[in-house]
Amino acid sequence: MNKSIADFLRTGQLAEGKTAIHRFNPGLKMLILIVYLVIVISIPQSDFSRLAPFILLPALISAAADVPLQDLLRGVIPALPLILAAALSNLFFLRTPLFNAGSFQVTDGMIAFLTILLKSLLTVTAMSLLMAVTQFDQILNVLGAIGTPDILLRLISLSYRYLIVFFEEAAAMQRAYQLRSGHGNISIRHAGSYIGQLLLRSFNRAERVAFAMKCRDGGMTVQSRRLKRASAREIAIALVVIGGNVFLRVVNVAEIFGNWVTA
Amino acid sequence: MHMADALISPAVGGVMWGVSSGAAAYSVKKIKEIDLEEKKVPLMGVMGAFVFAAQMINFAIPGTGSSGHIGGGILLAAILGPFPAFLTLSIVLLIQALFFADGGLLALGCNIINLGVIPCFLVYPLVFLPIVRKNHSKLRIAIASVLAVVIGLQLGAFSVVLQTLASRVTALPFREFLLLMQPIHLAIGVIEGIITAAVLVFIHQTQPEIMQKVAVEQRKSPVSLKVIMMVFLILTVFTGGYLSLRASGDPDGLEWAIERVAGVPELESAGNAHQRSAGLQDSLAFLPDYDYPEETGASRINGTTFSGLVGSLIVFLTAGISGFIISRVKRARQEQ
Repeated sequence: MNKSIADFLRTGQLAEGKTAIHRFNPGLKMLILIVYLVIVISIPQSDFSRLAPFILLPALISAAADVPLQDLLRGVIPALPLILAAALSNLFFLRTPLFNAGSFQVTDGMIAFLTILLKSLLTVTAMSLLMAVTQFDQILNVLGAIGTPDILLRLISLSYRYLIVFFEEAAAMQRAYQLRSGHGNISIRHAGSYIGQLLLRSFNRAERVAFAMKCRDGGMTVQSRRLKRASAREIAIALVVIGGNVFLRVVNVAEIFGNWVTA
Repeated sequence: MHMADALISPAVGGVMWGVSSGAAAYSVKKIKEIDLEEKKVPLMGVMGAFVFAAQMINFAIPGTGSSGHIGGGILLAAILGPFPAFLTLSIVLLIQALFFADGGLLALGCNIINLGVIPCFLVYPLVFLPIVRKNHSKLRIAIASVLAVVIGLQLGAFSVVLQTLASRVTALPFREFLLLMQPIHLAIGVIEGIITAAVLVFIHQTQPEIMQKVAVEQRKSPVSLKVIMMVFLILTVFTGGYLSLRASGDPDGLEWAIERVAGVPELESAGNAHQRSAGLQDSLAFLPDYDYPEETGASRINGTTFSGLVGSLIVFLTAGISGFIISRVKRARQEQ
């Protein structure tokens, strides 16, 4: 629980940075991310070498934005069970030998396994990187500018705002339970009253929030969201980055390098 | 059970985004129609934060040494009604994808279908509600909760299998994949169901009006079965028909685009530049006579794969060194 709170706060802290990457237009950052993700997941499982160069973008941007690697990689862990289930199966079901490295035979299943793992690493890293270099308000502005309904924006904003409040409330309940029971684990027999209490507290808090919102502006008007216009320089940079990604998708750069040294 | 970006193809991700966006638009419309906006929005927002916090709490399961936590879909649907619950869950999944890298941005559509559409629009009206409709007794709430959560998770896990197989990322056959996913989610579902039942029974005992209010609202504006069937029909037609046909024979989206522009399936590295680099290759080659298997017909591909792996290693090193240099230069500048 405390680790989740720390991770959440850490992402917010990183997004407060002042580097050129942080100042870059948020809409263009999101566009670059989406193009990057679509290109990465479009690469077939058998084409590890075509995927490899896509590590360049997160590597360069995280270095330029002063985002430590461990902050980007921690998101890989939750996705691992399902990814491993899908990836490991390739080791057993795809067994066509491709080449021998000494006495070790490399099969197409191994390549597919590595490709899925690398894809997972790249997609999670890219997503975490966007959040580490973009403030949440700016992301809401982009969502507003592309026509997301007000009701959804209000919901995102409220959930985000109260996330830390409830994390702390749940952590306090957990601490109190542990102090009284004398052991770390919460018994499933107490799940009803435990979660139920938290739920009723949420209801009370929601009522107070609704009253406060009504008192403040007499209704539910959402704060107007203004998106900063992208400069010509920013658009040019975004086009170069997107063009670079498309180039790497079309031309297998790693294979060309590999041919140079193995031909 | 969150789908990850790495496990889906752009086509599957796109279709799921389309369907989940449609479900979100429909829910927004319904909430506005029944004039729930003013009352429900703060509650939905706060409940979104509640689901996060509740999912962080793990309960010890006696005799197993493991623990479980609440899912949220059926619980929210019972407390808020299906449309507000669906929107709240979608926002929870969005924030999970953004801040905790749980699921991905492109896989968000899949996750909204598996964890939002299925429990709120399929399981809640067809399983949970019919059981508790007559009366909200403790027994009925408990049975409805366990059944609804188990069925919801089973359908969600089944949907994960279909989405992964339609994306063609795993060689795992359909039957084996199902055998891997369904039993695990049956066990998880039973635990989640028991926790959900315990919470709903507690709410029923302390503030019964909460769930009764939702049941009344639901009678006024039920989830349309026609709409549910239409959504799943579209999904089935897309995944079963169009996508599988394209996946089997056709190139993927980018390859298709390249083929349209260049007239060839994929741009080769051949040409003048390639020929010019041949001399450079010879002088740089440090593994010229590497041992490939002798299988006929496969040697070119195998050689290409090996070269690709060596090239990938070079790229990784380049990326690492570039990142290191940038960090060093920046640090040196800051220190000045």
